[in-house]
Amino acid sequence: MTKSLRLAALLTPVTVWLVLFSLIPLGVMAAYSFQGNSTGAVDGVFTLANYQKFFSNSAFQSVLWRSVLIALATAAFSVVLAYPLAYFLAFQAGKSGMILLTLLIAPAWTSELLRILAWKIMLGSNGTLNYLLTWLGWIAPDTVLIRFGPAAVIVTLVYTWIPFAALPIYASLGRIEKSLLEASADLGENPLRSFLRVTLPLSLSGVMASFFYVFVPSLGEWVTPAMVGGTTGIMFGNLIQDQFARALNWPLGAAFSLVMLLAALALTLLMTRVIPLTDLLEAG
Amino acid sequence: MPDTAVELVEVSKTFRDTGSVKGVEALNRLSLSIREGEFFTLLGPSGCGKTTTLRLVAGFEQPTEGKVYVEGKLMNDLPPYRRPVNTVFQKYALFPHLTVAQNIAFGLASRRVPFHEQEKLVDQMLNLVQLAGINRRMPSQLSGGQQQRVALARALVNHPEVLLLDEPLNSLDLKLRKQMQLELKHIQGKTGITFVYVTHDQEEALTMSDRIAVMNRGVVLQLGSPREIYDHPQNRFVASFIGETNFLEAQVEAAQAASVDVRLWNGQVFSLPPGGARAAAGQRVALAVRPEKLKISADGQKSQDSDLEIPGTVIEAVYAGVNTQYMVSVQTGEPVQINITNAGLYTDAVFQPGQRVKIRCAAADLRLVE
Amino acid sequence: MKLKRISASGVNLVYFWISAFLLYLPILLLIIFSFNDSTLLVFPLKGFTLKWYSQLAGANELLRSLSHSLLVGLGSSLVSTLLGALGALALTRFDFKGKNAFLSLAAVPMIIPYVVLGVAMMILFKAIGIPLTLWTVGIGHVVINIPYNVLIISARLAGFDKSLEEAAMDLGADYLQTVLRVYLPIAMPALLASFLSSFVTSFNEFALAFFLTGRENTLQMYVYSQLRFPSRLPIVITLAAITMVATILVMLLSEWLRQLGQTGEAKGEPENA
Repeated sequence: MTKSLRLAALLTPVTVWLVLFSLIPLGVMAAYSFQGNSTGAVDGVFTLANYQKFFSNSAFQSVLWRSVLIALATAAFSVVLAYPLAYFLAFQAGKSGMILLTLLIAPAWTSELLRILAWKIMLGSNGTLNYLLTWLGWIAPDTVLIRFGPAAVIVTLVYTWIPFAALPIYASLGRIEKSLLEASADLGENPLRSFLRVTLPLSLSGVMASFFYVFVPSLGEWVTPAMVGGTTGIMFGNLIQDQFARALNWPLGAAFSLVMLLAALALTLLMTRVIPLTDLLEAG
Repeated sequence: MPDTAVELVEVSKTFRDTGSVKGVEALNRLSLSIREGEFFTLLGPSGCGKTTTLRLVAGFEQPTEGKVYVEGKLMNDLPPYRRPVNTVFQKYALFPHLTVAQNIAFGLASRRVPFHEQEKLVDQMLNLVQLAGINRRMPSQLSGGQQQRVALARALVNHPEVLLLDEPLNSLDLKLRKQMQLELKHIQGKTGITFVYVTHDQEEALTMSDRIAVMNRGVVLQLGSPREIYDHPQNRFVASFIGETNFLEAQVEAAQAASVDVRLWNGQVFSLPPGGARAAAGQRVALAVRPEKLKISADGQKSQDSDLEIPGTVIEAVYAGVNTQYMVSVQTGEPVQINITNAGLYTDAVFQPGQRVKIRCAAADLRLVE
Repeated sequence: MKLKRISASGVNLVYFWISAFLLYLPILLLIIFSFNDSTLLVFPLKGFTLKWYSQLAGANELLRSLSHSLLVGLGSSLVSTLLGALGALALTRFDFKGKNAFLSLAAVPMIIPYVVLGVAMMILFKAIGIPLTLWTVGIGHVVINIPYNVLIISARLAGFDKSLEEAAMDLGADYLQTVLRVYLPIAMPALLASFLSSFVTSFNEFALAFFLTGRENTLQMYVYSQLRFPSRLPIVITLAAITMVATILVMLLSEWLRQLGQTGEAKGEPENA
């Protein structure tokens, strides 16, 4: 039937492109990770050496662990800081809600690299922030408020992600029927309790979506740590990037990559188990 | 002998499982013949297969088995854009990005009709549906009734052999509906195009159609003129789907070719034409009689000359404007409904709940159904 | 009690506007420095100058990388919008068993960190002997834009009466005609929004492009390469400021188009009479 042919014609391009350029590459990368390295090329010998390197070296593992923590912190802060913004747009902004949302998002579309550069200018020891605070007299000259390191990475990442984190929350808040809040008020709840007992639980799906939306890319970040991470804020993405940019040990880089991918998937799966618990929260 | 506009021969349609809908057998060896120039209605409840039948003629579905003909030509495997058939959709499906004129001219543009010719035909159509002058408006600016007429014009302008209408008046309010029914009938008469109309509203079907096919569960239960369907229902379903009907349970005493002897519970025996029932001796059947054919009289009144007479007790009397509806409980079976028109003469003959009465009707008004 | 509520909303209002200001602050900062008469990106400011802007015209490598980014952006956006449109058409207009599987596949680029994706694609290209060029960057950008495009265009198409396609075919249009005369026009706001957002994403993208760039740099790659030459930074900052403002304007346009498609027009379904 021509209908099936049509459907096939519509589905094929996307499918082919994604399989060819995302699934197959992952497969090849996985294959590479089991190869040995000889002067920047693979030697075709199956080996677990790369993975042994990862699992035996506690420095590598601690970087991965640090990345997980940074990503979790970033996601958590982003969601918490974005929530009031989303709330404002959904409940307080009225008709301008959409426009203001767009204005909020707009900076997030500009170059990540350039914005991180701007933050680097702001945060460093000669940075704008320090200058401003010194000028205000709040701190002594030459003190450094936020050194380059994990904290700077988190601050920069949160800044990058807040607008995007607000989106799913805004969407789920927008779906809440106004009549539910009226019912809650009618039944004797003040605004704060209405929020806690009605609004917040109903928006949790948006919050969870927002959390994941920020967590996964943050886990893989390497540009931000490279610019503002200093020596203590290096993330796992930097280790990977390093294998390809400098060390030229592709199999090791591939192995690291696979480890990161599996970590991301495992953590995502783990956290999706948590979602059913939020249904219990709604009852309370 | 009028020509056949549409013919379905032993058509079956089974829908396979898709992602969201389970497989279902919608039509079961359906055969139908629609005459040229007639207003033909497919009538039935949701899920009876009437819309599926329509879509098979239009070409949006292909039959699993059987053949579909339009004007004698085989339509199987022909896509909709190559059939001499046009459709008026239930939700009108007007193209939101085109003006009224562009909507109407869509089919003309498909056939590369020259532009000035298109304009002329569009104006003609707008006049026919009494919407002259709104060429430049967008569908979103029109009321429901106007959109419906534009949808009609868009289909008609292509002079199809057959026009298919899929419950087009569903979204309209009652008054507008009645008005549109008359207009549709008028337009059909004027253009002479064969209309195949789908509806679940039996009153609508009775008002507009030359012939009606009553459907249920993928088969045609009865095919005939409105009068035939209403006065001579061939089975229980048709009798109860069209109008209101009482069923008096009875049993067959003897069955002959031209008439069947049926015994009611009160002992009365009637000789009736078999109708659509296959009657055998001993079989349980029902006598169907319409509420308006029944008469009601006080218990003590002298017995008038009517054939059926059963005693009962009034349960309820409901004033319904045009008539008064009485529910009367009888010895066996469901309560019987009698509708008495409220003409002034009978105002003193109002019966009260609890009153013992007699229900009567002529044997000629009884119908035998299984 | 009432006073409490007003001040909670008031606090949130203030919070919103402060946050909005902070979000724009780095951009403002870069714009400020682009007019600063100094090669050092620190305060205090040294004086107003337009020399960085005038030097832009002669910064050949910078401008060349800009043209590369424009090319990659244009090409990858056209492809990803087209692919996204085809996928969206399939998802919204057809009923088929593999829908969830297809959706999951389309979502894959969203759940893989760019560093992993970049590494994987780079390895693939090396393994099959394709050199890294602007083409490979473009391919990568198509991959990451497909999910968002499918989403935007699907959202737009889903709002339209399913019978529109049948109506068109009933009136003599075959499938291709139906797509061109009905689906294309009604999806246009979403198609434009897709194109613009894909372009902006590609233009500003760095983390993935890093792994897929060969000898010809994109603008972001060029900026990265200049970071260790502080004296060259002001010009880079200047162009950065320009592109950031342009990006914001383009994205505002794109969002306006996308929201236009969600509210304004009728979707082909009748109101009650």
